[in-house]
Amino acid sequence: MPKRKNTGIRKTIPALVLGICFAAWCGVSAEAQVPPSGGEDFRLARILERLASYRPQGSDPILVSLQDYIHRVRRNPAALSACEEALVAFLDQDITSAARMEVCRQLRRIGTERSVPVLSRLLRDEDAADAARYALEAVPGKAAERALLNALAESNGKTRLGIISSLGARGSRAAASGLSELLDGSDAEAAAAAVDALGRIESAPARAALLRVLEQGPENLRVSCAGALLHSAERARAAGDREGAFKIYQTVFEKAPSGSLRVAAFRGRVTAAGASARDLLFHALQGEDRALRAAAIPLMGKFLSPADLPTLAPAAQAYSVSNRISWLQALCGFEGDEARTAAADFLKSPETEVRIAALQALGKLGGGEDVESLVRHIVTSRAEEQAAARAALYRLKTRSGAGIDQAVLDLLERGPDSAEAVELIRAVGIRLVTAGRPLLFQCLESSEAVIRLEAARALQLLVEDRHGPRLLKLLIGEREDSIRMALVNAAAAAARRHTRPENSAAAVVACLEENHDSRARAILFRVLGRIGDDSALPLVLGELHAEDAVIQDAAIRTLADWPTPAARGAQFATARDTGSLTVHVLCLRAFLNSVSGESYPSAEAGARPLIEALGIARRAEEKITVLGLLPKFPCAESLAAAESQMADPSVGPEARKAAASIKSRIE
Amino acid sequence: MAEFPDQTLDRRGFLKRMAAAAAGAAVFPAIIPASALGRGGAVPPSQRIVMAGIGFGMMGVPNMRAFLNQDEVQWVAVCDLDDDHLAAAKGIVDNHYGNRDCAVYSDFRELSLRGDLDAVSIAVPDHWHALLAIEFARAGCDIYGEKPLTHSLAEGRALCAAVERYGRIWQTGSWQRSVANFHHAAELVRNGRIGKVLMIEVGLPAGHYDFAGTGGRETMGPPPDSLDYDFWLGPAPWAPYCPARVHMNWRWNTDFGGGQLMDWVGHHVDIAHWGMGWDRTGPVEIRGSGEYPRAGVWNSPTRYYLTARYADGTPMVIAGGHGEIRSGTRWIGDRGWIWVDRGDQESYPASIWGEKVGAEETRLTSSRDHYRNFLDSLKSRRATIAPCEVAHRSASVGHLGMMAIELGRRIRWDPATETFPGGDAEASRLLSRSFRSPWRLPQ
Repeated sequence: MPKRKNTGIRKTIPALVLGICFAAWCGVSAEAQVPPSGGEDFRLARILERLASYRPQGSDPILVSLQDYIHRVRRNPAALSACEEALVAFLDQDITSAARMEVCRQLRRIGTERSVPVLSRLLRDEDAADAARYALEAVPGKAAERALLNALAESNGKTRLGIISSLGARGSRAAASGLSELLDGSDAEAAAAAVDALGRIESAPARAALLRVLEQGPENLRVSCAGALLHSAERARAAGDREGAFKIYQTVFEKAPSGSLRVAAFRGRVTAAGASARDLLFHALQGEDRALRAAAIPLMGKFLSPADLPTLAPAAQAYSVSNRISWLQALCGFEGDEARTAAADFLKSPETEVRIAALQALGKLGGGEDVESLVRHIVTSRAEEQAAARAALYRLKTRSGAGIDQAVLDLLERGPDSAEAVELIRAVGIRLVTAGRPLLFQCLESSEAVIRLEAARALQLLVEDRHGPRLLKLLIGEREDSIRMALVNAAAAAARRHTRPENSAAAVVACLEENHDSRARAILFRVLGRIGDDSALPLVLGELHAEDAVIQDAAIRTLADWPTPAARGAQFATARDTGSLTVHVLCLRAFLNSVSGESYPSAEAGARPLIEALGIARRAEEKITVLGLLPKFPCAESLAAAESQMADPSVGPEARKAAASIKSRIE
Repeated sequence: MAEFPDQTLDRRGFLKRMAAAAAGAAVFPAIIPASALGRGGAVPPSQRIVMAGIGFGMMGVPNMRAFLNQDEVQWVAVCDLDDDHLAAAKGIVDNHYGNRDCAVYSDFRELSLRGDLDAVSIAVPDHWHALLAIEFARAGCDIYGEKPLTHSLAEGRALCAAVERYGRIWQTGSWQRSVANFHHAAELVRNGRIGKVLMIEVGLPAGHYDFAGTGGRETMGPPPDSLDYDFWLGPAPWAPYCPARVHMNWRWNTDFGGGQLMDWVGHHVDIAHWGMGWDRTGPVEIRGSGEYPRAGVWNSPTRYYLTARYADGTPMVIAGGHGEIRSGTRWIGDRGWIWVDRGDQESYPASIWGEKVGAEETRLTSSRDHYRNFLDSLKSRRATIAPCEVAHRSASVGHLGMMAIELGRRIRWDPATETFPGGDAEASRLLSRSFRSPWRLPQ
């Protein structure tokens, strides 16, 4: 396109825009919406005047002004129409390429057939063609399509490639013939672009042209041609033309220039094959072609029935490792015994990965009859495989009959060896088998510590408030430390499920009143610390200075465990005043845990308790914890607190990091 | 491959040197260290996963490092349009294997023609996502791709179709799905722990973060010699080079990215969808407002507020820069709420968070390592935890939101057909973007 002189541009654009706006307004009916004010017209004129010489230098707000203008007039058909006219006229002026692009962006959104003539002219200009296509591709109606078609014959090079793509993007059926001609031309790039465009056009001639290229065309077009045909087949299938789709898939399958395209065509063939999909899959699953087999396995669940599995299973045993894993995953798409049996067949595979996949499949497909073998698998395997076996046992779902949970309980009642019993007890807990509570209480009386420990852990998940007193009694009688702590947790869990939270520690308090033995009282205090019933807190505070060292130690640890903010003041005071470093650390950490988890109305409010903690911290570890938390509350106070530690060699780097972080957040 | 324009493949002496070094290693017999064939040589050749990466300006490097740590991965090539990024990426791979074998490519089309790749990791600007991914899907590669899935809704659908067409395994970089607290939150919601969900709030970042320290450097000028800038622009409309437009900060310009909204929609909205069981659907209606910079290269919204409504009537608010919507995802039900964010979570009542999800309840796919999950899926040919369709649906909320902001009105959407009920010609024009010639979307 020849460059026009810029002379007089400042005069012509406003006049032009005003004229068009006025004419447009005069032409609209009385029903049209509120007219743009005269101010609007001048505004657009001013915008375009400035836009004409626009070069993207970053700080010029003119683009936003134009966008805002169009946004404002969008709901006013008359004004919008006038705006389009003005933009079209503007494109015919001597303007920068950046200005042209911006106007074409807007025409993409609002342009009508009125924009087509000027955009059509721009299509012939290599420098402007991309911008013109940007708009034309989205302008509705035949005129835009015609403009692209006309330009196709007259263009070349990059311009033509773009026009071809735009015709494809519009799905232009009228372009099919012209694009087909390009396939045989000397311009290899245009032919390649035409292949892609034809793949986007829904018409028999487009499809026929692509099939011809796939069968007889040059090698360099065949990959994109196969891709385009697959796309075309998908559209045919979606439109209900299964037969048509199948024919395309079949041709691509036979003529595919690469393995991945052949496999894709195979997948398409199966999906479009209707009743014969089963035969195609059988052929692939029992055949020697590894690529087809790999593609067929994930399709099994969609096209085969469980009754097909016993026939296919023997061949699957000879698959590669990855195909066996894939096969086992595919089995999960089936229901019934056939799939379960087929999965169980792989539990003895020589490769760990395959056995893990079999366990995962069994977890989804298995039933009560698999409980015993899974438990055995757990106790005889290690590491990842053991974890997979456990996960399978925990995930088994009841599909019919007595159910998995009952199978777990039955097996546990039969008195398996202790390793298996431990796994079964764990399953009772994790599977939340409430019917297993009586059995778990029986296990708590076992002479074997491992059984008691696991039962206590499982009960933590299953207990209710009513089990509290019984658990407390067992707790007091228990001698093994690890089991005692598990029972502490179970008793606390029972208390927390009390229907009245403000009274959840009642059973423990009652037990404390009945027991005067230091050791028993100490362990009961630990239960209190895990419940968090604030009504029992004074009881704990009262023992912080007990003469009995065992009770005092238990009271301090209980205070440190206390899960509600009610203990915060005592935690801080104890940390500050104690002479024992251990007690200081326990209580200060508890205080920090408590204050860091809370929401605050302001950064200053959040920083305050942390700054106080920093003031009493005796070790670098706790100071570092505070410095890590301070940036959560960016304010002058937290910054000053962090900076005050920068000279301390034990926490200097953390303090500097915290200060920098706070500073950046404040800014 | 004929469908793309010619590009100078060895445009820099630097590339020639590196290519020659790599080729030399292939030509002359050499003792290949066991570590180059999978860590410690423990993984047999039949089970090795041959990988390459495209794009090393931001997420490409950490993604590649994570894959290098997986025993069965054998990383053979890196591809980037910036020679500096390319040299750094090659250095990481060569250093890992103790050799100089990693091949370098500046043109992804050359890489796709290698024929020996099982999978690729793609971490390029959004405007390249669909084009590259479809090209590699057609070449038979499984793909780890960054979010948002694509730069437009139409590209998203095209990419999903291609991944399905070629039977590829896809993992989106929506890694929050592989983090325990997000998984637990989604499972609790899915299993009705907060009752019927009445509303969802999603808080995302606002503003523009100057990742590369090039903010404000908007004076146009020649690109650095190390960057093939015209290729970098690719299908996007032509624009002159300036530092603020490219590396890491491209995301703030809508020709290349979608600002904070599109950057984060694939994280927190993705998690919201997961909890609701909306992985394969989207909103039926969306409206919103946004604030844009008045000038400058960074033109994506800096503050936004969207309200989407789903088929069952549940609304989802997605906001950036609105203090009342807390960062992360919050589902509000008639029996409580759950909020989750990176490294933090809360529930009301507090006890909900401690609840376990039983074996007989709905269990969501579990992963504790996003990269591992991709490799496992690659072997089993089962969907990953963040497959293509799921990523498309998460991104669709952002795309529709951007449209609603631009049009300044409510948009109705049919997620089943992915069309606008009643036509809505105005919105339909925003479904896709034109490609600068000679670039086009493969099929």
